Parts: sequence; C-alpha cells; structure tokens
Amino acid sequence: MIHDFTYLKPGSLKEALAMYAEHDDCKVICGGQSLLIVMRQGMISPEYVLDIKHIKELDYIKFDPKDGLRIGATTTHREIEKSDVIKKNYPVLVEMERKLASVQVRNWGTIGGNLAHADSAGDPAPVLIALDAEITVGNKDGQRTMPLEDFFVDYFETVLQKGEIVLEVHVPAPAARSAAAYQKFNLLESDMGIVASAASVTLDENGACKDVRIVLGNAGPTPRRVKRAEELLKGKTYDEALFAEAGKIASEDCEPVSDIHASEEHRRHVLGVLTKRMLKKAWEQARG
Amino acid sequence: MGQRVEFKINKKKYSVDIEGEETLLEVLRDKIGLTGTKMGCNQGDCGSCTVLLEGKPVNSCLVLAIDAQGKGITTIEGINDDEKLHRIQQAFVEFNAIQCGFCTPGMVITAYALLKENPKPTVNEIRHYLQGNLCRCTGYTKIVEAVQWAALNGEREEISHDSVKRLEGEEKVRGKAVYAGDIKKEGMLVGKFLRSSIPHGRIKEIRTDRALSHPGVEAVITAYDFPDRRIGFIIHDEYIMAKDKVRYIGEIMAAVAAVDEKTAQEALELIEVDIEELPGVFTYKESVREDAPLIHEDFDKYTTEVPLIRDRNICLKGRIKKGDVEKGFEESDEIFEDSFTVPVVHQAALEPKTVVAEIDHNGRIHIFSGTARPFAVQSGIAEVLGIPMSRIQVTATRMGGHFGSKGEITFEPIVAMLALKTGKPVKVEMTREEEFLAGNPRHMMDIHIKTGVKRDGKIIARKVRLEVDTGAYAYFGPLATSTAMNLASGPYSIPNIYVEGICAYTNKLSCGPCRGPGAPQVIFAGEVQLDRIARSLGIDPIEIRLKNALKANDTTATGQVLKDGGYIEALLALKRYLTENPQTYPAQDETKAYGMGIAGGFWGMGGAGSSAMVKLNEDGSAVLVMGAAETGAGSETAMAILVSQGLGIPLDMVRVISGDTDTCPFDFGAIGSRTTQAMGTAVHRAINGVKEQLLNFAEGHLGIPKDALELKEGKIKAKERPDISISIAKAVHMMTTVKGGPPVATGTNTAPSTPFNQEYVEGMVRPARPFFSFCVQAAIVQVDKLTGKVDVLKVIASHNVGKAVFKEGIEGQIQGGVAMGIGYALTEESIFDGGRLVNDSFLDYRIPTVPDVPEIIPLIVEKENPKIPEDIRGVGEPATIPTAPAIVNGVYDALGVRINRLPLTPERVFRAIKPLP
Ligand code: FES
Ligand code: FES
Repeated sequence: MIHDFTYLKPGSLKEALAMYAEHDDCKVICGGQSLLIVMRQGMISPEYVLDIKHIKELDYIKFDPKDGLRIGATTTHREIEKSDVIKKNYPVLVEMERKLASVQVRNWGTIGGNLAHADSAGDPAPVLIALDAEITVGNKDGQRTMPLEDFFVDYFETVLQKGEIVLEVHVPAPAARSAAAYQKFNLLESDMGIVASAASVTLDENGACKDVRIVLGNAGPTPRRVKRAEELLKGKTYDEALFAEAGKIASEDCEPVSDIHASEEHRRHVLGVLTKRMLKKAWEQARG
Repeated sequence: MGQRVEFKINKKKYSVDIEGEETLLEVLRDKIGLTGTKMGCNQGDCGSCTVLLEGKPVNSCLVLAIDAQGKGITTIEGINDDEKLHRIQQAFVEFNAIQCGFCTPGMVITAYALLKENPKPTVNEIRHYLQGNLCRCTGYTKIVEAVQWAALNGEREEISHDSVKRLEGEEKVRGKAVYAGDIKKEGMLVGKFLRSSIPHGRIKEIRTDRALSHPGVEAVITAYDFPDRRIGFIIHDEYIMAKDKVRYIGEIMAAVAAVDEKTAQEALELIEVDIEELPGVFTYKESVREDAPLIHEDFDKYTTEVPLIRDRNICLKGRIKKGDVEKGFEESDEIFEDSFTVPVVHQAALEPKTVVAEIDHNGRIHIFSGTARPFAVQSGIAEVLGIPMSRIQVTATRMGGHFGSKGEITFEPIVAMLALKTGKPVKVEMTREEEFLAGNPRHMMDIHIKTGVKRDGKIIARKVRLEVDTGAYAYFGPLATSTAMNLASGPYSIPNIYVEGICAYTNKLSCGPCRGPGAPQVIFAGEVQLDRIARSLGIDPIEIRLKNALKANDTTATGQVLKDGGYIEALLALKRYLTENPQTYPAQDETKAYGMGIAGGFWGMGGAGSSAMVKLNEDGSAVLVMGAAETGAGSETAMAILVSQGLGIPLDMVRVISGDTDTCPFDFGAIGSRTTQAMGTAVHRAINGVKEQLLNFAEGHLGIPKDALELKEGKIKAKERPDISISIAKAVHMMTTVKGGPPVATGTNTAPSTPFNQEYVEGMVRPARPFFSFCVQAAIVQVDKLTGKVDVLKVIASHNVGKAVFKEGIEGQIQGGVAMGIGYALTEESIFDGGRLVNDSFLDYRIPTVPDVPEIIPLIVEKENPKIPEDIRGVGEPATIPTAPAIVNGVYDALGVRINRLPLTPERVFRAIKPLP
C-alpha cells in the first residue's frame, strides 16, 4: 500500500519547475518503476508527488552527426531500444536496453527517472559514461550541464538540488573507428546486474588505442571509471594480455560490497573478467 | 482527497473516484471490477498485472491510475471483440499452455503485444519478450509453443498442438476464472495481520483498544478470542495466533478487520504489544545443543497424532534399521562418504494466498479460498473455533498455483473469526512479502550419507543422517523428515541400511509441504553421491542405476514389499532416447565447459480417502462431482477423461464440479500427487456403478445379456450385433421417466493399508506409501569457467506414470516440475540473517524466467499394471525431484568438481574451481 500523497500534474516544463520549487517534501515521478516500489515499501512517503512523465517537451530522441545524440528525460527505455538512429549509431545502447528489466518496465520507465534514481546497479549509466555522455539538469532559475559521471554522488544520491530535475542526456557523435560494449553479470536474464562493465574504444588510423573509457556498474556507490586501466591502454595496439591486465586493474580499482547475491571477492573477480571481455569486444568492433 | 477520473478501458468509458496514490491495478480490480488482471507481487517483478497502455504492455501495479487517465487501456477482458477467443487465447487453450491460469492473463496480453509489434517472432524473440512474465506451473515450454503457433497464423501447421484441452482453459484465458482475490461481496471488510518483528519473545500484553476505537475498524482479535487449544499437523504445538510467546519473525499476533486496506493498516499501527525478547535459536546446530534455549518450554505436554520420540528442541528423532549396516560396510569393496546441504526454498505460487469468509443467513460460515484441501479446512476451522463442522462450508476457488503452499490450513480460522465477530464478509490477501516471510517453504537439511558398494557397483550398505530445521513449529517437519528417511535408500534395493532423522525447532518460519516434501533433499544427496560412485568405479551412470533399481517384490528401507516397480522402465526409456538421439555439445574451450548429468528419483504417494459421484443427464452427458479441488495440475480434466473413456461419451459431454464441502463427496486433498491415483480409483468405481445401471437397463430393453454389451460413441451397443444399440441419452431418459431410476453412482476409495516391517522403524510418521512413482532425468549444462555461471541447455525427463490419463497435462507437470528443479539447483534460496529473512521479493528470490528454462523433453513411460488396472501415478512431485542432482552431476561432468551445496550460485561454482582470496 502506498501512503497518501497529493498528486501534482504540471502541464509544461515551466510549470513543473515552478511547482517543484514551491512544494517542500515533494518527489518527482517520471515512470515510477523504482519509485513506486520504494514508496510501497514505506521507505519514502512524500507529501507531494510531481509527475513529469507526460511532459512532451522532454520526450525526444534527436541525432545530429556533428552534435551527437540528445535524449529527453521523459523518453522511455523502450523508445531508446526501438530507435533506429540509436541502433545505427550507438548499438550498445540498444543492447543494454534490451536487457534492462522487462518489456513492461521499459515501456513505462524513463531514462531520466532511471538516472535520477541513481541505483548503482542501473544499466544505462555505465554505458552512457563510457560513451562520454553529459547530463543537463535544471530548475526554475536555469540549467547546468555536467559530465554524467559527475552527476552521481553516492548510493541513490545525485547532485540534484531541491527544485532541480533531469532534463536531457547528451552523447557525443561517435568517433571514427570507435565502438562500445556492455555486459552485466546476473543470475536470471532480466535481473539487475550483480556487477557490470562497459568499455568504449576509439582507435587511430594505425589501429592503436586513441581513447578508451572503462566504467563499472554496481562496483561501488556510483558508476566508476577505471582510469588506471584506461591510461594503460592508451596508445597501445591490440593485445589480449593487455586486456587481462586492464581487467585485473578493474578488479582492484573498485569498491563492491558483499550481499546475498555475491561476495565482494567474487564481484571483483567477475568485474575483471567482464572488463577484459568488453575491452576485447569493443576493440574488435572498433577495428571493424 | 479523491477525484473523479475518466478511464478508457477496452474501448469503454469508466468514470471512477480515485486517490492519487492508487495504482492502475488497484483501480481495475477493486473499483472497476475487471479482475482478469492479477496481482502476483505488486512490485513489478512478475507480470501478472500486465495490461496494455496505449497498446504497450506495462505492469499495472507500477502505474499510478491517475497517470493512465485518458490513455487507452486494454485488459485481458478486452482483447477479443466478440464471443470468439482471440487467436492468441485460442493458442493457449490448444497447447495446454495453462495450468493454474494465474499468470495466463498477463502472459496472453504480453504475447498479444509481441505479435502486434513483431508478427513473426523467432523462438528466441518470444522468450525474450515474455521474460517479465513469471509462470511457476508450466516451465514455459507450452507457452512458447502456443505463441509460435499463434504467430504462424495457420500458415504452417507443423507445430502439432495438443489433442486434449483442459476443461477450464477457456475461462482462464479470458480472465474469467474466479480466484479468491477476485471475490467481492457487499460490505466486505479487509483483514490484515499484525506480525511479530522479533524472532523469539514472551508476550506480556497485546492492547487492542486504541486500534478498535479507530474509525472504520470493525474487529481486532488475538489468540484470546479463540478457545484455548493448540493445533498442528502432527504435533499440536501451535496456537492459531501467538498467545504466550512469539517464535519467529512474521508470526501473527493480532488481526484486524476494517472498511478498507488503509484503515486496517492504520489499525495495526495502533495495536500496542509488550514483548520480552528472548535469546533465539537460528540453526539446527544451535538448536540441538544441550544448553540451547527452549523454543517450546511445554513440549512434553503437547499431544501428537502418532507416538514420537522428542527431546527439548528436537521434535522428531526417528530411525530405520534394516539388515546390519556395519557388517555391510565390512563386506564392501569401497565406501563413499559425503555431506550435503540444501536450503529453504519457496513454493512461490504466483497467487498469494487469499481467504474470504462470510456468514450466511443461517449463521453458517462460508469460506472461499484457493485451497487444495477444502475438507481439511472445514474440519480445521471447526476445531480451532470450537464449532460444529456442519456450520462451515468451504468452497475451493480457482487456485493460482499450489506446490504445497495451498495444501494445509493456515490462517483460514482467523478470517472466519473476523467474519463471525463482525457479521460481515472479510477478505485477507497475503502480500508477496508475507508469502515469503510467513509462508511454509521447503525444509533445509544437512544430509550425511555413507554408502558401501561392491566393485561391480552393487550397493550393499548405506548409512544416512538427516538433520532437519523445521522452524518455529513442527508443522510438516516430522513428516518431511520421515519421508526423507523413507526415501533415503533412493530408488534402490539396499540390503543393509541405517537411517537417522532428527528434526529440530528454530526461531524461523515453520517449513511446510513443498512439492515432494523431504524428497528432493535426500534424493539430491543420494544421486550426487551415486554419480561419484559410478565414476569412481568406472560404471555408466544408467547401468549402475539399473543394477540397483527397486523392482516389484523388492523391499524398501522400511521393509515395505513393493507391489510394482517402474524405475527400470524409466531408466531404459532414457537410455533408448540417448542412444537414438546422441546428445552433442561443444568441446570445452578457454571459457566454457559442457557436460551431462543423470539422476533418478522416486516418490511415494496415495493414502487416505477419496470419493466421487457420477450422474447422467437425459442428453447423455455426465456430471462428475468430486471433493478434489483443481490445483492447476489438470485433475478436473484427467478425471473427466476417465469418465468420458469409461462411458464412451465425448469429453465435452462431461462436466466436473469439484472442491466444495457442502456439495461434493469427501476427498482428503489434492496433495502429495495423490489425486489421479486416489481420486482416479474412486471415479473409476463411480463410473462402473453408473455403467452397471445402464447395462442392467439395456439388458432388459435390448434383450441382450449385459456382458455382450458395451458403451461406445454415446451408445450402448451389442458387441457382436452392430445393428442393435440404444443411445445413452435415450436410455437415461427412459430410466429417468419409465423404469430403472435416474443413473447415479458413487465411488469411494481408501488406499489399502501398506504393511512395512515394524521392527525396522522407530519414531517415524508414515513409514510406507501405497504407490511409488519412478523417474530419471538427464541434464545438459554449460558452465562459464571464468565466472562460475551455470546454464542448463536441455533436460530430458523420463517418468513412469503407470497409465497416462491426460498426457498433455502430464507433460506440463513434468516441464513445470523440472523448471522448479532448475530453480532449486541454481538460483533459489531463502537467506536468513539470524531469524530475519533477507530476501522477501521476487527481485531477490529468483525463480526461473522464460529464457532461463531450456528445452525440456518429457518421456512418458506407461506401464500398465495387470494387478491394479487403475494404477495411475501422479507426476507433479516426482518431476522436481531428480532435476537438481542431474544438473549438479552435469556440472561435475563439465568441470570435474563436486558441489554438495545448493543452489549452485556462480560464486559457489567458481570457488569450487578456483579458490578466491
Ligand atoms: S503484480 Fe505487477 S508485476 Fe507482479
Ligand atoms: S499457469 Fe502460470 S503460474 Fe500457474
């Protein structure tokens, strides 16, 4: 049973931001696929719920070969999964979405809702960070944009201030000779990841690594880059031993915790395995 | 602050007053009365509540109703425009892709959306799309087949569909089947329970006055509202609600009935409980220590159904002693000794248990619940409330999955009492968390097993010690322990055997009957060890089983002489299949390893009474009235098939009425896979009764001696003279109006008492079983060597069923049972932190989803029994028994490591291959 609240339904983004500024003890709902669960469990019981899901201004997928991809906060997971331009330019996002929970959840849950919930086991964040995404948030007074990796602060905590909501995610245009890969490790097909790893690789004309980003999911309070491994790989050419080394670094440079699904040690180990696999996969795809 | 909102549902407009926090599911079910959409978890994990919103499937439990305002909503009631089923519904019926039917509306809606979106999906696309829809009954195989068939749209017919369709299939695919949660009565109150949040404590006081004076609250009751009487399945150790003490987290301390859920919830918070917390005992090992705190101080005053040996926290201490086990070990060429641990696992039926009670105009209590034992509920309520049975009627509604969880009486008397106190109908519906917290799951066990064999593989001695944690109350502990003891020999003839079973209380929820209580645990241990023995001796796994198999006239561990075998036939069928279809899988590489494992099993069933009545109508149709409730396993259909075959009339001329204590003859209950066997015998007898009446009439009417007559194609025919016959319809009409009397007969059956050797056993419950069902399964697995993750690629399940009555139903039982076995092997485990259950949702307690269940090939072995023509053996429980050991043996085949603890989480597998720091 969900505790009573007052439901606020703004007609526009402007109105939404104004309402949010006005109401204390107010929670934004944008799909609610996680929020309603925690509300039913009684973990939170806000006085107001501000529903922004239907705000059309934020429901878009735009792609421009120069500017890259812009996804509005109220875009559903399913819209991303089914988008042709995303499939063509960022296939890893489609692959990630296909394995996010169930088709029912993807039909109603939104990208903005997912990122704002800041579950460390969430799928989109590691992939988007690997793709060097930025996030734009705003309140009634203005907007700010930051790298997505700076958006997360702690378990279920983001930089969002009172009155501020997620507006947009921006992914740069894919570089030539680049590719990304993502895999989560879970027991059942549609589970949340026990741990996950995303890697994006950009090669230069000679096939050496020009840029690489490795991001781990559920390996600590927030999605985390493995910068030491990235540095190791830059400038190098294809080498499985190197991927293994990067995997090893990944398993060291993280802080997963033990719970009923796996111990910290096993998580570290699997993070290493996945990272190695994802680097190899992304690299091979980048080579074409 | 309610508001009036317009909804567009199934192209109709509804205007409803709602609150902001209400979900679409609540509004659909409670306010609009479209109860085809089901609630299985209320957490977005099961898909039972799937509806289409603007044509897209969503979980209606995770959509605020107000948010769906103005959007097109389609529910199961709206996907077919006219009386005709939609093709996808038709497909579910044709393929028997339905058992309990609770998942069916959600499943159908999702499949419908899939075909709209992708009219020609591949099998993998179907499996992927349906993964958010859990089904605990079918193992998904038939569901995927049905969707494939619907997608073909009649273009290709090469997927063959089933010939017999279950009787209640249509109401289930339409969302019209009535489960207890769908019942709505005028003025109905909502009941809720206050549960203990501490594992062990002495109750000093429960003050209910504040709750009672809360507006909208109509009753608050505690144990003191009931006669002072302890109840229990074998040991009478439990009050209907906690009285003197609480003994586990989740134990019911008080119950409230109020005008709505919210008020009931508020009332719970107003009940003041004063409890002195006591030190708890949380594991078997802690419980049996001499200085362990006593969970039941008065244990020696408790009465029991049968004499038992009990000691402090130990509620059963039994043993079996056959032959001389020590001498057997001396004579053995090799001895193998192993220890195994298996966890608590849940039935996880998709429908949370729900009970409705109302008081009728004559002051009688009428209970509606998806119960597998309506008669036991009736007598149980009478006992707990101290009122005559004649004042109680129990009607079994459709049941959303059983597997033991709907087998025994639990909180029904509390709901009955709330209805008595208020004079109004009361409904209590468990939440998914309550199901996990306070349901009655499978027992965890530690099993030590030592087996002596000759070099040729003959087992000559076995010693087993079973340590069982039953939880706060004995409940099924004594029986599950005894069953495990009885089956500790495995389906093998072992001359010298010694089994010890000890069942102890702990401060955790009481474990109950779960698909073959006791069997999967002990069979797992025996079959994994047998695989080790076979490999060590260099004997083929099927051959070693053939060599030791129990056969007719062999004696079991308790000295029961088997009237019939069946294991050899099941083994040979698997052997033949594997020879004719050699199983190939890739060779091991750097990351993946593959293997196949074999394991057998058996299950003892039958016992207790069943009765049925068959009557004929003047159109030649028949009505079968029986006490056994339809659990989803297909018993109504199976019994109707018996009637149709016995009387020579089409299946659609047989109607079945079942599961009501006022109108139906007695049945002990749809538990222990006994229905087809025990009820089948009673139904046979009833059929023979009406047959005799028909033949007597026809003998006089046609002038042909009755042994020269037969019932065929709706007629009574002279066997030798095709020109002489009378239709059954006409015969019934004449009997009804002219002479002979309307045909009606009853059949009744109590399983023969089964002798065993008294000297072999001590302190056990039910040491013999009238019938045994045998099976063997092969599992092919893939293991990721770098992460430890195991995937099952295929299971071949060979089951001896005696006589197969409803073949399609049996296949479904096998596939569903295997799927549950896969969960037992790989993912399922209730995890406790002291007395606290850690994983109380489908998100953390993981039952297999569609893509997790591989191809399951059922091999149905029929072995007609000349001595017992009605020898039909249930398969519901056996199907789950050998799956986990087959998988574990497969993992050994792949990796060369033995893991003696379930489930095989990736971490356990990985650690077995390579120790982590
Ligand atoms: S009831 Fe909605 S997903 Fe289970
Ligand atoms: S038929 Fe699917 S849950 Fe019972």
